[in-house]
Order: sequence, then structure tokens, then C-alpha cells
Amino acid sequence: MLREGVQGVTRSLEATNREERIQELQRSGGEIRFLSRLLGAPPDAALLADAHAVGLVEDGWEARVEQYRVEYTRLFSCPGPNFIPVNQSVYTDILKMEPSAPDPSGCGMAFPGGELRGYLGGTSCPALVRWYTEAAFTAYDGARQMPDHISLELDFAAHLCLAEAHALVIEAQDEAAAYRDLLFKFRQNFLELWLASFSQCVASNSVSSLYRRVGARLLELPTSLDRYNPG
Amino acid sequence: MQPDDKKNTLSRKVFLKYAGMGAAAAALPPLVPGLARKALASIKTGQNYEKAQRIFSCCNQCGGQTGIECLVEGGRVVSIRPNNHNPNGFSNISTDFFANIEKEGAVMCPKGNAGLMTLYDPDRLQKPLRRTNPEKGIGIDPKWKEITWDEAYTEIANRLKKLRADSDAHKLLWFSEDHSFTHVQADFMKLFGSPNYSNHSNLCDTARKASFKMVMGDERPLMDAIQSKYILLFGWNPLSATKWAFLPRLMTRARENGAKLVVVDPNFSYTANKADEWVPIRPSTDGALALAMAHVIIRDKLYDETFIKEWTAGFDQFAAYVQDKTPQWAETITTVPAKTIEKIAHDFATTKPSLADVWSGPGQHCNAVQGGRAIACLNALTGSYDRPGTMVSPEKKGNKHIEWSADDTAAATLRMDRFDGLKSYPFGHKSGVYCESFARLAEGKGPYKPKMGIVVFQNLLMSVPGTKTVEAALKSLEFLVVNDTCLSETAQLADIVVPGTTYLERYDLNGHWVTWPVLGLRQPVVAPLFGQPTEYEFVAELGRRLGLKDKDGVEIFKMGHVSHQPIEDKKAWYEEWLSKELLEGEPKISLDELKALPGATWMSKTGTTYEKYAKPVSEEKVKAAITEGNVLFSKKKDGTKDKQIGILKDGKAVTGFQTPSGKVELFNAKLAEKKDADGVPVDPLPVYKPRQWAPDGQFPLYLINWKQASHTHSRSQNNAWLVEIGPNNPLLMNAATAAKMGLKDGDAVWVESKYGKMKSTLKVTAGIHPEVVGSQHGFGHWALGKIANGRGSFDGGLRPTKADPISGQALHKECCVKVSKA
Repeated sequence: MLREGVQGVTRSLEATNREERIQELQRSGGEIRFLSRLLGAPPDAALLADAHAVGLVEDGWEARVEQYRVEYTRLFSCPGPNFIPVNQSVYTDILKMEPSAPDPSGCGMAFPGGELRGYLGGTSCPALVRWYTEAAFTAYDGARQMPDHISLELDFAAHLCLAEAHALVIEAQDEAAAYRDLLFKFRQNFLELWLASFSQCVASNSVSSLYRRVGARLLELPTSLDRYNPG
Repeated sequence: MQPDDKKNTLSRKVFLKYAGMGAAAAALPPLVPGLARKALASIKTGQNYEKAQRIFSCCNQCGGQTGIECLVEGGRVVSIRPNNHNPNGFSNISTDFFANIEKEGAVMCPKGNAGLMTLYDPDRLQKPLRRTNPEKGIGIDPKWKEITWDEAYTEIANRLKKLRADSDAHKLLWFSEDHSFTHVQADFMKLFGSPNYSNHSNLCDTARKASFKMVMGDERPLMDAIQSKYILLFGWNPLSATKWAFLPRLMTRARENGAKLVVVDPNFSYTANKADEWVPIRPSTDGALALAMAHVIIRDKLYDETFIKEWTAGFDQFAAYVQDKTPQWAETITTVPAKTIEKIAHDFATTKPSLADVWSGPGQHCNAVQGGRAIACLNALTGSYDRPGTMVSPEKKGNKHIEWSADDTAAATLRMDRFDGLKSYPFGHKSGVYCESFARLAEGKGPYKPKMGIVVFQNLLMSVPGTKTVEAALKSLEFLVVNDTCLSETAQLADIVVPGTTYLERYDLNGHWVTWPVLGLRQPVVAPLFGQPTEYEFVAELGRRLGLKDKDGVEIFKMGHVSHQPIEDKKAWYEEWLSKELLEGEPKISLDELKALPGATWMSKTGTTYEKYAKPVSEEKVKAAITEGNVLFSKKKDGTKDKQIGILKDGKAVTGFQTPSGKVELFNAKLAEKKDADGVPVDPLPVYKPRQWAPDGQFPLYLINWKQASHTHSRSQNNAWLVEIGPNNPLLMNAATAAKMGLKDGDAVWVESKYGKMKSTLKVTAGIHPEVVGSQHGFGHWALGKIANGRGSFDGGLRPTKADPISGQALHKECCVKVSKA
């Protein structure tokens, strides 16, 4: 009786934990996907209404839609003094150059080899494509970005959260664990290698509260994910 | 409910909507059992790229179009190497190419090597932008707003539709680079109904084109340096201003083969550095030097009598003209000692084979055409045309541009005069006259007021002389669209900017500038990085939205030109366009067949041929020809005169030269019937006239500029590798001049003309004429990118926006300045 009771409580606790976890994964996945949309294109009125609902923009935002779109462009689309690079390669990848062979003409010009940072299309890109393909991730409609764009990396993280939630719903525990593991490794190997640098720039260079708050929220993201995905 | 609870509930609701859990959202896709575990196992095995692909293509870091071989791994270009199947990276002479390519291998220049840094430049424009600040100008923030491609197309197409509806199609001006997708852009303009399609050439070498055209009928003869024994270059730096990648090798091999090299140039260029003799000359006086050389050659009877007798016209008039153009006369004009002129003239005429060539140094002053013509006449005196080791006429046969006829709507406005007044330039080039366009726009002159401009892969503010004029001109347009890879200075003045593609992301056919027919394919090595359409897809989409048709009602921007079926996919549509040009051109192969050829390069089996002027014209062609005097013309279908195909010489029909007489012309009386753009009759002789702007007390120094291998015009200064080898552009000044002015190496200086001023850093050297200062063109950006901005000095603002009155060539060197310590 007692054993049955304990088992019942355990099952009930497990069920409660599972329910909570599903809910939290859905919430986190939704929030990350929302942040991904905010960073994927200039905001439209619908997105701003949602941003207002979650406290990212103040009242009266309806009159400032164009301003937000201009600010998005200034920060993320428009190469220039205020531009914040939105691709992982620029932050993390190293382009290695082999030393050149001795110059046969004998004029002594030879390149010693070296490294270069800060470029698009680094090794992150093909690696990410591989992850996306393996995890059957399809970018959202309208995402015409390089694979290492912040918006796509966040969307992929959201995809993994939601897929884990889905696996838990159908009680596919192994599959849920695999998604959890994938997210952990994805954060470790990609997203969190540059998220802090990127977010810091966003939080400190934005004129509007919207992107300052987006930057701040992104800075907190690893901690909040750790709470539910301890690795 | 407390406010925080309410907020949290609201947030949760919003987030669930994005999670796909909200009422309005679509459900999550079904979970594939085992997928995550498989994915986890797979990624743990590490990278497993497909085998690296080797893709042959052609460079477009500059207009040289060198053959390249790209190594692509995991969808990334990791290396760009020379293409050993394409002669453009080896030699312009077929025998040399076939005999030596295997043992020596092709080359490419630093710019080609650095193509990766252009493709993956973090300052590339990724999305279309719309200006929100109506105020325009240098230094004014456009307050860009990212828009979708559909929004961009819709707004541009609506503007274009309105022009057509108002019978104002001719008020659209289009400017583009001249090596890429020009056919599709020109055809768009034709079917739209505007005569105002222009491209880059008139910023480059149209004065040279006019000079050679007037003398020997070919706009662009090429030097056969490798077989030459005496190479005389005027303002032409092939070792560093690598117009084609084969040039440095040819010059080097020529020297190894014993050729003498003499370089006439105010600047001690890289080529001058490797020459037997550097002849520093006062800018724009090269024509006087050439005339004095001709004087010596004729005086001492050193000319090729047989060639003069058989193949030239106007020798007597030319000889009479140069009779008083003595070396002493030239010395006062050129500052070149008379004895040097005597020696060069003797060596040039007596060393066989020899050649004299000229490019943009003398070609960008106001008397450039006649000066270049005098230089071209030197080759006539020595028979240095189309023979081994001389100036050879290339056989340009490749893809065929399919001509489309405008429908009635377009034809009505297409008949309007060009806005740039091209027809008033007697040897103007089809590329137009940029300087006239911008000067007219800025001053509100011209036959009508253009309303809209489209600029493709051009940075007009940096490349057309007279920045203030160009700025005013672009501001005068009601609507400006720029398609470019970076947010250039010109793009900053646009209403809409759309991101373009680099040469590694798109197609093109390249008829190479070698002496026999060779065509290389440029093909996408990777897909456009940001999913953006290529430039030809951009044009095709506009054509489709406007419903442009030819006179037979064919929607040419939608119809497959091989399948004759409508094609939705614009890349596939363009592939058929290229196939059609190949199938109807000389190669007679499809695009896929070209891709499959070694190095994706087609070449004619004929190889380089010489003395084509003496080649007989077939009897069949002679019978069908129209004869005027002793010149033969082919017939059009309607029976009227078409192209010049030969001349009757000693009773035989031979090909001759493509001049009015069919011979090399040292004098042409009919030229006097033509007036230049200033209304002055063109002189029948290659006369020397001093240029209009000479140094005076206020602006005592000539200002010149030049190209080096490290950069392409003003478009490569944001390339990390290229700025390593060419980081900036100091102002060169002769050491004696600097000493007189109390200036020293490294001083910050102001360089000022009556049009503007720039700050620069002085480099004191013995390697520049004492009356001259100069620097490499292309630096001093303020908008191109993080690396380029603020690097070096920009000289475009110091010049007037002025074209040569005969050819329409932009005058990049018609400028005098004063220099003072900053």
C-alpha cells in the first residue's frame, strides 16, 4: 500500500515534472523563436505588438514602427559605423593562410602565412548546415540568411527545445534526451561562442529600448536555459 | 491578477504563439522517431564534407577576366588558383600558349588571389534598403530602412511603369560596369524604350580606342610583346596595372628574349623600373614626342618603305607636317632631351620587330586622341601592325549578342537623342560619355531632364572626375536605384539600394583579349550568399513586372531562348540566354557543353594569325559585295551597304584595314568634315596641341594618377588581403621639387586645385617628373567599408567633370594643383 503510494507519488511527481518541463520548453522555445524573429528582419506592426505585450517596447509603439525599422537596419542590415555583425563567422572563425612557396623568380617576395578573423562564410557555415540537415531543421519562411546568422542559430535552438517538448509529449524519453543533448552541444559549439559578444553590442549600442532589451534578454539566455537544460 | 502575473501570462501567451502552440499558429510537424539520436550520433563523428569540388571560372576582380580554378569545400570557396586551360592567365599569342603552358603554368594577379576576401567581406550589403531621409548629399545619413525584395521590385517597377505611361522612358539613365551581363542590361533599356544605356569604357580607354581606330581601323590592337625586340610604351604600366594577367609574364619573357624596353611616363612605374630606359615626360606631351620621333624616322629614311607604299595612306602629308617637329622642338614641350628622342627614334625604327603602345597615361588629357594617334602612326612608319612582335589585331569571335527589336511603345522614345550627346563626339564610344551626362544633369542642361537612374556595380562618385558635379547630378534625379555588393559612396545617394553578387556567385561569358578567339565561362562557384538575385535576375524580374516585349510580342525576359517555353526560374532562363548566344556565336555549343570543356574555356583552333590585312577576300564575297571606290562592303538583306570587308589592291580583293581607305591612315582629309564636341573640326593630321589646363603661378604642379596591381579602381580598398600589399596612396613628389618647397618625406600635405582639395601624405622620390605630383587612384573612401574608409586620399574632387571632345573619354588627368604643408 505504502509502496504503491510512494510509486504513485513518484509517478505523479514525474508526471508533474514532465508537464512542467514540457511547458517550460515550449515557453523557452517560443521566446527564443520570438527573439529570432526580432533579429531576422525589421519588425512589422504584429511583431511590435507582441514585443509590447512582453514588455520590450513601451506604450505608443504604434507611432514608432518606422523608427524601429530604421533602427533595425542601422544595427543589423546596413554596413556602417553602427553595424553589429550578425554572423557567427565574423566573431569566431579563423581563416588560416598557408605560407607561400619560395618565389621562383627570386625577388624574395614570399608570404609567411597567417590568420585572419572577422570574415563571413567561415567554417561555422558548413558545420551549421550539417547540424540543420541532420536535425531536419528548415529555416522559417522568408529567412534568406547565411546559416550562421543569429536569427537562424536562435531559430535552431528554439527548434531543438520544441522538438524535445514534442518528444516528451509523446513520451519518447530517449528522443527527448537526444534533443536535450543536441541543444547542449549546439550551444557549446556554436551559439554561446559568440552570443555574449553580440548581445553586449546590441544592449549597449541601441538607441531604442527595444533592442537594448533584446540584447539584455539574450545575455540572460544561457542562464535561463541552464535552469532547464543542465547538460 | 497582479500586474506582474498579468504580464507573465501575456508573455507566456505570446511565446507559445511563436512556439507553434497558439491557437492561430500551425501545429508542429510530426516528430520523426529516432531522428535526434541519429543526428547526435552523426555529428559526433565530426566533419565529413563531400569531396572538394574544383570549379573552373573567370575572375572579375577587375576587367581582366583571368581564368581561375576554385576549390569549394562544404559550400565554401577555400582557394582560388589560376586556370591552366585559359590563356588569359598566360599569353595573348597562341603558339606561346600551346608550347609553354604545361611547363610554366598560368598565373593570376594579387587581386585574383584575394577574391575570397571580396566574397566573404563582412561589409557586404545583404538586404535591399530604402532611404527614409528625403534629403540627399555626401555626409547626410539616408536613414536606411531594410525592405523586402518584393517591396524593392514593386517600387522600382512602379516608377518605371510611370515613366513608360508618361512617354518618358528615355528619361531613365542606366550606368553599369562593362564586363558583366551588359547584354541583358542594354536589351532591357532597348525594350523599355530608353537610348541612355552607358557603361564603364569611357572612363577608361576610349581615347586609345579612337586613336588606333583612326589610324589602323581596330579599336584595340594588342601588343605581341613576347616576339618583339623593341617595346616602347607611353603611359602604360603592364607589369603592375595588370589589365590582363598575362602581361607581366609577357613583359618578363620579352626581356629574357632580348627585347629592349623603353617606358615614357612622368612616373617611375613598376614597368619603368624594369625597363632599359625610363623617359620621364611632362604630362600630356607624348604626342609631341611621337611626332618628333616620326620626324627623325622620316628624315633619316628609317621607315619601312614597302609597308608605307603598299599599306598606308597620307604619308606625304604626314611627312610634310612633321618636317618642323624636330627633337629640339619636342624637347621644349616634353622636357625630354633632343638626343634622347633621336636615340629612341633610331632604336625603335631599326630594331625589328618593334612596337609602340599607349594607354591611360597620355589617354586621359584633353588632347589624348591626337596624341595617341601620333603614337599609333609610329607603328605605321615601321610596318609594326599585325606582324609577329608588333601591334596585332585580335580576332574577336565568341558569343553572339542576339538583337531584339523594340515594340512600338519603346521605339517611340528609343528614337530620342541620347542625353549625354554621344553623337557630337566624332569618335565617341557606344559606352557613352559619363562626364557629359553628369555635367548636363548638374547644370540642368541637355535635350531633356532625366528623372530616374539605375546604377549597377559602379561607384560613380569615386570614378567620374568632379565629385561635386557628380553629387549634384545624382541628386537631381527624382529616383535613383543602385545595385552593388557594398554600400558605396554612390549608393549612399540612392533611394533604393539592392545587394548585388560577386563574380563567384554568377554567370557571364568572357570573350578574352588575346589575339585568337577564346571564350571563358564565369559561373556560380557558390550560390549568392544572402539568397539575393544576381544582377541579370534583377533585370529579368523588372522586365517581367513591366511585361516588356519585343516587336513580335515575345516576352524576352521570360521566354526560354532555346526551349522557346516560358521559364519561371530566372537562373534557368539566363542559362538558356547564354546557351543561345553560344549556339549562335562562334563556339556553336551550349552552356553545358562549355562547362564541360577543359577549364570551361572554348578556343578557336585557328590560333593567332598575322597580316590579316593582306588576306584575300573570297571570290564569293567579292561577287556579292557592294564596291565604293576601291572599298568592298557586304550587303544587308535589303541590299544596302553593310560591313567593310576588303579593298581592291593591284586588281585583287584583300581584307585591308578597317579604315575608310582600307589602309593605315597617317592623314585623312575627310576627318576635317567632322566636328568635335566643342565644335572644332577634327584635324586630318595627328597634331600636337597643348592641353587646356597647364600649370601657372597659382597651381604650379601637374596632378596625375595611376593604377597598381594591388587594387582595382575604387572598388577593392575594403579587401583585407589587398590592403596588406597596397595599404594607402601617398602623394609622390620629386625630391628636388620637395626640397625647393621645404617639404620632406612623410609630411602631411594639402593638395588643392580650383575645384577642391585633399589631404595626403608626401612620399619624396626621384621617381617622378619634377613638375608632377601623383598617386594611385581609388583610395579615400568615406562609405565603402570599415577597412577602406579613411584610408588614403581621394583625388576625384580636384578635377572638373570633363570629357575629351573627340572620344568622350573622361579626363582623369587634366588637373593642376598646389601643394602645401598641412
